[in-house]
Amino acid sequence: MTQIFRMWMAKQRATVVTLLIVALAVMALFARFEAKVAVSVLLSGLTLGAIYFLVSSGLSLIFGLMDVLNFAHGLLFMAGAYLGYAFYASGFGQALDSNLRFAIAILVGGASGALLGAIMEWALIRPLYKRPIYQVLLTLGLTFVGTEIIKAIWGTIGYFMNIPAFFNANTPNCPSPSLFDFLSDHCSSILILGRPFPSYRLFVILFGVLAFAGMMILLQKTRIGIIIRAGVQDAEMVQALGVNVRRVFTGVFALGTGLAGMGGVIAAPIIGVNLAMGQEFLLQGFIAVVIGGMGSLVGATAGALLLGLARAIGDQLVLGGLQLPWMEQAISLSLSIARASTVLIMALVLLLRPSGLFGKKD
Amino acid sequence: MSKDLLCLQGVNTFIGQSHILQGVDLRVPEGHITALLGRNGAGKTTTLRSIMGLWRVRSGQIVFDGARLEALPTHEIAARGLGYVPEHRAIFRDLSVYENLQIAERKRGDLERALPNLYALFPDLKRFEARAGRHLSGGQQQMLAIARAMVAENRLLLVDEPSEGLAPIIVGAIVDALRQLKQHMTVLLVEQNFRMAAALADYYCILDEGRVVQAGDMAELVVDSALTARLLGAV
Amino acid sequence: MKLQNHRLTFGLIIALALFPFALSWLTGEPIDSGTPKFWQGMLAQVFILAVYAVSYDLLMGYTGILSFGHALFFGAGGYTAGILLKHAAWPLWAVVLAVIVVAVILGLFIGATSLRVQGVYLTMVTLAFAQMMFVLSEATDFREWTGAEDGLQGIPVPAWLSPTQQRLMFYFVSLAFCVFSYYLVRRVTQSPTGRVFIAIRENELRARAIGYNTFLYKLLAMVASGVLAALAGMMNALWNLNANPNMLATSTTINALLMTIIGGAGTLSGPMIGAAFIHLLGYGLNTAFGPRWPLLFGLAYVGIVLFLPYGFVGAWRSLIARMKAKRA
Repeated sequence: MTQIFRMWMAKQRATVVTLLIVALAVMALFARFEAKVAVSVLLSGLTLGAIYFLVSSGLSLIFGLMDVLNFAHGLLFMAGAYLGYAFYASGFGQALDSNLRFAIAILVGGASGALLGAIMEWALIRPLYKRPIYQVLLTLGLTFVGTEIIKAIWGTIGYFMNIPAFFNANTPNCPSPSLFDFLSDHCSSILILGRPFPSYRLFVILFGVLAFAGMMILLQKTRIGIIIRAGVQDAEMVQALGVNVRRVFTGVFALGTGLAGMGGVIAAPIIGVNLAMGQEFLLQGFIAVVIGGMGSLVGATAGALLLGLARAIGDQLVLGGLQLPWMEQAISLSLSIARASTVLIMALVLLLRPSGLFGKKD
Repeated sequence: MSKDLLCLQGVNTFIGQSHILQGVDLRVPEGHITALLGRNGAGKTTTLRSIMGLWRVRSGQIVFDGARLEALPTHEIAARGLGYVPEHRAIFRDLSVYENLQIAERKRGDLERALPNLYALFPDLKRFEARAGRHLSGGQQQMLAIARAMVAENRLLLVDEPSEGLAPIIVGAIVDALRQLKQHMTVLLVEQNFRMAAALADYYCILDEGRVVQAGDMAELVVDSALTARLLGAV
Repeated sequence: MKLQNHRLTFGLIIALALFPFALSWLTGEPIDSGTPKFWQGMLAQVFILAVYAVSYDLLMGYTGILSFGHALFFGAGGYTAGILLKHAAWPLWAVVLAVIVVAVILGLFIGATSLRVQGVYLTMVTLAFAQMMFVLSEATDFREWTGAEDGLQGIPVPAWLSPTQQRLMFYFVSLAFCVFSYYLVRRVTQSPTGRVFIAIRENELRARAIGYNTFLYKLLAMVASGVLAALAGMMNALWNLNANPNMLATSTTINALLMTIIGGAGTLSGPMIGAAFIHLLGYGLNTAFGPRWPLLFGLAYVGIVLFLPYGFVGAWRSLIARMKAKRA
């Protein structure tokens, strides 16, 4: 019995550690702020975490399976956002109502991410499997080229993407008093503990949860999932059992980049569509996978969640002014400080545990 | 001698700049176990990997059941009916026992058909069906690796050092299993443990420095202890 | 062969030293204006970039550390020099020392964190650090000192070195800087330490098995290359009279990669040739294609990664080797 428990602990240690960190952060949050503020910071963190997850899960899977660190992942996130936006704002799109248009825009973003990713893997990365460093150099170069192409087509100015009508009503009854009321009035905000929270962000959280569940089912319950999990460990052996691993590689690459492309569209109504988004989210994706450890979906998820919470808490502290015990008065800082400090979190994790929370030491 | 299921002719394989296989000629008769013997670094594992297409052959022919293999990608070679049991018990450690078997299905129904027989052969696998590969003992992992190669309808098994690092009693169980296999399968067995190879194999083939230096009936090799000693060192 | 190489280098240095005078004589324009002045500027920038490229080669080409955060050092050098000159009015020699000290501290910190991980993890971590500095350089909190997204403008360069007033002087200082850096790095790569760097690149486990503390050597490579890159960044800030966030951007790291790979990693002379090629090509493409030139630039980079993995010098060497083999 104790042995089984120890085995379970060994397996779950990373999860336990993650939950502990989250619990500590949440407790600190509630100690520092009123409950309603704390909850809304928490939800903001989950929103960010959901978007980070859409980037980090693909990065982690692609790296785990084929040892390719895809520096073009941020580019595909951005390409998905631009193409999704182009559809959403185009003349053809305008004929449809905004909800349907948005749903299709998500699909457009996902499909373009997947397609571009598949082409990229097939045409450019595949010839370089014997020269792994050049794969990294190549994907970095593709980021550069792709960004220039986007700049050439859409210019350097950013775009706003309107929130679809389903989450965008502004009647006198708004904000919705509850989630249940929201389903009939579609207010842009919902009262949570008496404080309005944007309803679209709740949708982002839901989308992230569904994407996670979908990926878990795919990985745990399907044959292709078994092949992927086996391939992460030993792709050669999978091939020796008669599976065409190269095709699985392309498929997983497309899956990962497709998720990123979808993520771009999902994020667009919150952060806009602009040339900086690719770099920004690539970096956050990297930080998430470094924190979580490469090659594990659960790790990528935990990393994304921790990072999202850290960013939300950091933003809140920075915006509210930071007052440490020895300071006479609170100093106010810009959001850049919160953005930069996530890198330090990563450095801290690396110093304590170089293989990341869920990383396997092999 | 019966018909050759697998035949290598003048196979040369390079790993990086090193010329590992230097013209290997090898015949594996159908329905028998052929033992591939030789010292460490003689090229035994490289031979198996070359057959599977995991190392590319630079020149020479590999003929399996009348068809050339050397230019095919690994998964197509496997699909011709070759099962591979690599050294160091390379099972999928994060997958359960059942999933390890499941992944080896090449067509629907393979597993369903093979499972009763596999579980009869290796009862431990049935007991620990849901356990992750990494929590199995060394012997169980080896049994799983062999069982995995038997899920699909393979005609030839390439088995690399199944006894490596295992306790004698477990080696015995694996010998029994391989002996049962022999009844409906051809096996090319790489084995350092000469006693085990001698107990199982019908034919032998000795590699040294990337070349075949001697091949023939196992029975002859066993009686000629002087020859064995000369070729393989102290046994 | 070796002597020939020495002669070639020496001749090249003499030629570069005489270049402004020759150009002035050829064009008939005074040496401190018009075409001669313009080309002195172009080459001075090439010299600065060459040092930046060589510093990257020391890290990537010789020690095999693929860092995607090299821009951090370049930018740190530029900003340190700019801030000290503009806000503290330090003398130049003190600024140079300060740049070196800052680079050593940064190199130690980033090395100590990122060198704990291998391969692509290192690329991610170094990229993250560089990106952090980039974000900080744009942060409005430090606008007073850094000028935030506008950059630090109007750095007061000592009159004797002014790139606008004393162009010829700046040209010679850059040339001296470049030659000095080249010889320094060459000495390092040919020293026992340099051989350990190469051993680490070839097979780190073996280097460790022989008994070298590879972590310390890698840290040393990181710090040394960081110091050179920071000095190049400082020179770049002096030339431009400003330091801006772009110096810290990923494109600056890509630039280092590009120059190194185009020229041939691990050859020293290659990256310098790469720097000249890239800068002059960039200028040419810029005049020919205007704002679209970075796209062509990126495509050229991708093409080189795919088809010319060992760069110009590598391709040249293998061509010579093949010709020799044929003759033999």
